[in-house]
Amino acid sequence: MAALYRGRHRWKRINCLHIFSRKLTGKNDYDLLVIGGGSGGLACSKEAAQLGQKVAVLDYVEPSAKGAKWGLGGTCVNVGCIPKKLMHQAALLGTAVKDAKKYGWQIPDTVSHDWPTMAEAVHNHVKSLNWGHRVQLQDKKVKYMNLKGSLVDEHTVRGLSKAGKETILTAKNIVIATGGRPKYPTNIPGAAEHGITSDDIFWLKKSPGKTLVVGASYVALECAGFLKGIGLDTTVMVRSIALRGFDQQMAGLVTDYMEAHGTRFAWKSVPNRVDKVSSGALQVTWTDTQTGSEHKDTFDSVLWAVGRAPETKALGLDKLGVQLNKETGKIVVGPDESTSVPNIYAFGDIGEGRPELTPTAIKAGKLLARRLAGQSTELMNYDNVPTTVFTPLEYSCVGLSEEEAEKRHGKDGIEIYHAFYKPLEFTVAERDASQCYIKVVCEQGGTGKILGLHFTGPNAGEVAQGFAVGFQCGATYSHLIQTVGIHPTCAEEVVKVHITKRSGLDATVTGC
Amino acid sequence: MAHRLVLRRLWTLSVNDIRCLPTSTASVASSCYSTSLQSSTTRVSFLSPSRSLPRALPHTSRREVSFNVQDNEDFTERVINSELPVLVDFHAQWCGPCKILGPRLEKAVAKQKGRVAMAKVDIDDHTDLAIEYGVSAVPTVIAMRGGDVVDHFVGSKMMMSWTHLSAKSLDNEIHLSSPSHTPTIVVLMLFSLILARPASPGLPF
Repeated sequence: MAALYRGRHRWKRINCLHIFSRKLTGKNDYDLLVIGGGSGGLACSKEAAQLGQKVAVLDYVEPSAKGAKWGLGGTCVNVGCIPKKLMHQAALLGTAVKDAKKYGWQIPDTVSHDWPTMAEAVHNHVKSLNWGHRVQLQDKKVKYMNLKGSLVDEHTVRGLSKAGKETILTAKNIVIATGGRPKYPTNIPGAAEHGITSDDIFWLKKSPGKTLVVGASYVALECAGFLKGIGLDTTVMVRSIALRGFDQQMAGLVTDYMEAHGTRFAWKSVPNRVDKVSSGALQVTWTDTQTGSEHKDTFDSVLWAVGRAPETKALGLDKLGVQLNKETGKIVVGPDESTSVPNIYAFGDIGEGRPELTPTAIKAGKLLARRLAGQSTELMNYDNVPTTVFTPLEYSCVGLSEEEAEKRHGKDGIEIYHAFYKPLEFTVAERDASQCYIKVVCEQGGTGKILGLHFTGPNAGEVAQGFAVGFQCGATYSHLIQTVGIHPTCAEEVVKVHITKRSGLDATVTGC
Repeated sequence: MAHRLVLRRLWTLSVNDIRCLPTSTASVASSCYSTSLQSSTTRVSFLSPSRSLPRALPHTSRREVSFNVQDNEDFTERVINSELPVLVDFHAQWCGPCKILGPRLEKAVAKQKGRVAMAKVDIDDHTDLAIEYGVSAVPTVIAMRGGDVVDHFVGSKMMMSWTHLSAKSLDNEIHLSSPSHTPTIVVLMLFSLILARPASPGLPF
């Protein structure tokens, strides 16, 4: 604690003294020092502490360009999964309220949404999680410090407080789990000045109003999805394709659903500039790259969802020779999360080639902690990771996309079973189910091992979780059809798929 | 911190010196109140009204007994160094039960007519302070006297139970069962009726 009160002018001398004393005594302040208090960092530090290690975690949130900042817990808790899912739920409830009339509920003709009510409720929950994490760290005896960490050498970290006070910490092992932040486009005038990112959207006190979402990643589509769902005029601007990296047929179904339900899409378009007009609104001019024509329109908010950049700049990694991927800027890591510098590890969103998901970060963090404590040699298995995109029509998948399976096994090496189904709940509600679809990609011949499973429909995440277990166990097509379905559900259609793409037959499920 | 508390104890009046006989006769009661009022009037008047709770209590004609803690120094001055026993209400914006307990606590404290003060600490604003006092779930109420924690409880009784306790019976509780000791015990006996049902946040991992 005394370190916090050292004067800046004495820092250098004490720094050297500190490092010297560590080198002399061989004694580090901590067994493990984790930089980053997000999904990965917290899981790793708590696991290590439970195994008897002396652990400290540094968490610091650099405010967004618009000044948004938040507490302990990282992206997932504060500006990711949690607020996203809650707002997605708010949007789904809006649809449910409309459906309710058909089911006999006496609901007024116009039902409106109040952003501040939703925002306050979401913020309260997020704050309760911030607090919960703080208490957990305390309970598990992990030292928490609200400091911005950077590396001095392979055993030394410098922590900078908001007020500018410096603290030097030494550790046997250092783990970097700083994650990423949304990118702003660099070549569009007015982008940073007038636009916001996902860091800001969840913390707005007032409704964003008529919004332009630039990007077609899951972040862009999920945000556009709930904004439209709560009744806001929403436009999505896509440069090339939607949901890059995902199965493109499924991506098409997701965007088709959104378009059919009122979200405007500006395909193959790139924004040129953003200006603020006298009314206070934002005027965006863009080019349709297919026709070359220019367009402009005014919006209340512009949300940039054009990618995420790793938080490595302020870490001082180049000084230590920690290898980064030149293209992405992420840290190059081995299968055991090690970096090019011994005793420095990195995992989570910051790791090159790793899925940017909370559950993988948590699991990887726990396994890393066990390995560092000498309790295990088990490596993280990054294969067969299921995931869900929480767009208005949810899409979940596990395993390979059709394109990837084709690439690896050849068109004749795979058999694709598919079905268009209609959720029972949509019938009375008279909802269009054209995009509710299931696709099971299997190996041709042999056991018919399932290579990939794809599902669009309500509660897609809940549906896919169980199937992911089967996938992990190496389920085959025959396993699938041997399983009796639960009736009446959407999930049962997965175990009933029998029409192949190859046959060319109509894949629409008829009544039971 | 321990040595600081010891020093503070030497400075502050022991609460036992302020004896209030539980009686319904106005004359005696008023003198008791005036004594306690006098000893802490200077402090109360020193504290600007803006620092006290904006919420109006039914008995505010007397004085405001509860206040929001502003920072660590404020906590030290008005809680640790307080001559009165202090009930510290650790609460949070996102905690539903806290919103129910808060006003009830204030009412009960107000009934003590100046013998007990109440400090409110928002745990999001004063996280380190809350952690220091071992708060995990909210609401957590800690009773402090002379800078020491003498008792605490976590959670709030469900609303229906409170409605069964009429104001009159609360008063009787105080008058009948309390010896002429520290008012804190009286208040705590009141709260020993409250079962713990804390608002614990659910964590994803």
